[in-house]
Amino acid sequence: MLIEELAEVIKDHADRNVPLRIEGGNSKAFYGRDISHLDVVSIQGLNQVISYEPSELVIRVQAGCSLVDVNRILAEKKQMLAFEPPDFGSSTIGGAIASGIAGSRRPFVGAGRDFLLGLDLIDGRGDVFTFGGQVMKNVAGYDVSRLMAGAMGCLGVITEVSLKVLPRPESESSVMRACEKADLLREMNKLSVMPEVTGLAWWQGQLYVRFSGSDSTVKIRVLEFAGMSAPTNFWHDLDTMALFTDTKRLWKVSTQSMDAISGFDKASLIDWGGAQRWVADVDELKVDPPAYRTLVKTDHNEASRFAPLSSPVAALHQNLKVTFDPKKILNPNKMYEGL
Amino acid sequence: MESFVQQLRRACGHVIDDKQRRQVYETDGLTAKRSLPAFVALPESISEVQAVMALCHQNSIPVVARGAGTGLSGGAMPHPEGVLLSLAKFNRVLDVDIENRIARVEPGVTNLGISDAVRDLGLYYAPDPSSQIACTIGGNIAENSGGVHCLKYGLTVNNVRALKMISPEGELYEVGAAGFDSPGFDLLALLHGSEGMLGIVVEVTVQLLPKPETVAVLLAGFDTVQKAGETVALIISEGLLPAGLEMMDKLAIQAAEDFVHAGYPRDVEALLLCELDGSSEDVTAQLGRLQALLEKSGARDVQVAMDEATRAAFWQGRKAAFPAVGRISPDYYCMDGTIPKRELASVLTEITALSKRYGLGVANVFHAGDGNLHPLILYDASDKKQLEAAELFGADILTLCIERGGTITGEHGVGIEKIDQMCIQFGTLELERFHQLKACFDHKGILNPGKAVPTLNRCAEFGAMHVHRGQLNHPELERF
Repeated sequence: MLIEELAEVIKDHADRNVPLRIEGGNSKAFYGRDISHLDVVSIQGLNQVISYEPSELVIRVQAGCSLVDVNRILAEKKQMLAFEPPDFGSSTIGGAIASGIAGSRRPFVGAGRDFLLGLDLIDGRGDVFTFGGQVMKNVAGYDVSRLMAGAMGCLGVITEVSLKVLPRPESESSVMRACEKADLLREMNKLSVMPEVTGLAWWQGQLYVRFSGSDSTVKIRVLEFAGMSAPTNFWHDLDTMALFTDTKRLWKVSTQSMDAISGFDKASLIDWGGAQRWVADVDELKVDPPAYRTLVKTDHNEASRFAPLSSPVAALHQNLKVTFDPKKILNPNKMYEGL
Repeated sequence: MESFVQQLRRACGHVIDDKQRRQVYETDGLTAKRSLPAFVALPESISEVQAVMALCHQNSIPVVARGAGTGLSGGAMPHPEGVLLSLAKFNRVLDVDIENRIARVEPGVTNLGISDAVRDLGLYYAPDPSSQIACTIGGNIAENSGGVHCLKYGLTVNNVRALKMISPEGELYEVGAAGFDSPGFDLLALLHGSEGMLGIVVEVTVQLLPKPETVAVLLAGFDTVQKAGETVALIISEGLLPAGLEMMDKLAIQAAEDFVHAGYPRDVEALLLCELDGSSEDVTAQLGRLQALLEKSGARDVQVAMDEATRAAFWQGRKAAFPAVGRISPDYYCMDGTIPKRELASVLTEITALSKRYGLGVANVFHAGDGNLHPLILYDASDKKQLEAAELFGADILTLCIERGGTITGEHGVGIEKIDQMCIQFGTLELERFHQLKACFDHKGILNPGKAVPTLNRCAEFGAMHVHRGQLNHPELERF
């Protein structure tokens, strides 16, 4: 598919004031407001790898490439997407960046925004832009690329991304042992200083730890931990919410790892070394300050899924929206009402 | 009716308007560019910053924020009709949260000041630009500063959790959160590297890292720059992720050695410094792989430093490279292009050719791990011809970086220095969007006007015609 064709579709919709829903693998429709009734603009045809040189630690791919394909190509050269974007089935790299949903490695290595070096974008007028670059350090111009990470397509259609990649660790091993919730945060805090820890979660009374590093070091860490081997798919199930298949209503709370209050009591899953708490089947989750909670999953279409913005910040969001998408035709209301 | 300066004095307790004391602020680290500010304000509280901004906004007076003034691109060069807003009095570490490993600091705290404040707790702040003893965290945010450890630990944007900002209207707002995620667009990322064009930083929450248990620094000499460059690629593609990976060429090595006696070999063409960190078991494992790899790639004079004193000596030569070059030349002009690593050897060859053409020496210091070049062009500023030649030479290097798939600035920012090269790097659409984006935050355009993003007229006058997807830049404008 040609970028020009896609740009033409968007321009045409802007001219006619007809809103669009941007679709990659359509695996994260649950995230944000339901806009399934809108016309679809799909990036699935954009599935080419533009360039990849392992010694540069940089890959440039079209946004419609599936995570499966990108992960496979990197694995062949013993590298990986260090931010470990969750694959909800048919997820694309464009969707992973646009949604900003981060996996279990978040507190230890970062999120998609931390590895995004540049991108191509079609805005709500149908204009095509190139921002950022393919090198690891670049401060020329405003960092529009990172602004798009987590913007849920509300500012443009990402068509191509450059990402920093990292070497795959020589060895990786996940272990678990029983841990009382009362002792949990302290236990996690102790473990999280170890450079080999790349996953740290608690689920159904078990503390789960993933160690990554050289063969010899990981062996030592596993022995020191003195637990049992954990199921290999645990982190994938956690990241993709497979642990909550039967849950109708799911909140996640992002907070400081040692905060004993924000959603902690009610949480059935604790991830990110304590900094992300998942609360199932609670109607209204009050946390203080309110900025931290997100309603990830719900069975009815509610207006407010994401935490409210302060009024100066909401005004900046409006200004940016009007600049990039003056007719408000790209994923309208997906993130916030009127955005 | 009160005059502007009277109103400014009411807004802020410390205002400088006499010429002699204003002159202190007329330049930053880019000393070739100077401009005397109309006023200097040194607020000491958030409410004073708000009052100054509200007043300037009301009167459409330009405001240029300044930290320590160590920036190398003229980003803090004052506006002749504006207020120079120094954040020097915002110099307190407000709070260190040991358990959550974060610190809240004011923007005028130095980069190293943060690490110093938490050293006894076994923590540190990772980004470490070479100017870290003087540069402030506020300035680091404005330029998204890197340093020698960013290959592994990221840039400023990857290590800051939240900011308190003052808008041009004087309104206080917060972006980011003390935790990892925050709602809405990633304004936190957008504000990094925005060169004081979008708002004033008044408080910063940084994340801190536990100090690594073990650190090893390895030094290796090479007979050719080519070999050193190939070795860098090999280290990365073999799966090692050094905490730092730096390269110096012969002139830089010799200048550094003469200055600080770091113990570098003098008869090599290029030097690599490679730092590994982590748990002692892991560093031992990595070191074994690295040494085997260096042996294979023909490195000479390989030395390993495990103790703090030797490591510091090895780094001292690299960190003192700029002042060391300052000793062998009356002036030097520091460039900041970034290129894909594979282009290293050929770009350095071309820089050598340019050096001959312009008749000016050049010493190369290089963040090899992430492709960030710092060629130091040697010249004598008292000779006008040399100054002009140095600027042309620098512009040629930046153009070369763009041609090879890189960028005009890796970490120093565009400021006023590289504003013309922005016309080469970006097309009309992108430049226009940058201006519109600034207007989202600063619709009157009072923050640091004229910096970072060139007007389309300026690009037309500069004559840079970047043909972007077949479209000629600025077709609406006359060519000069």
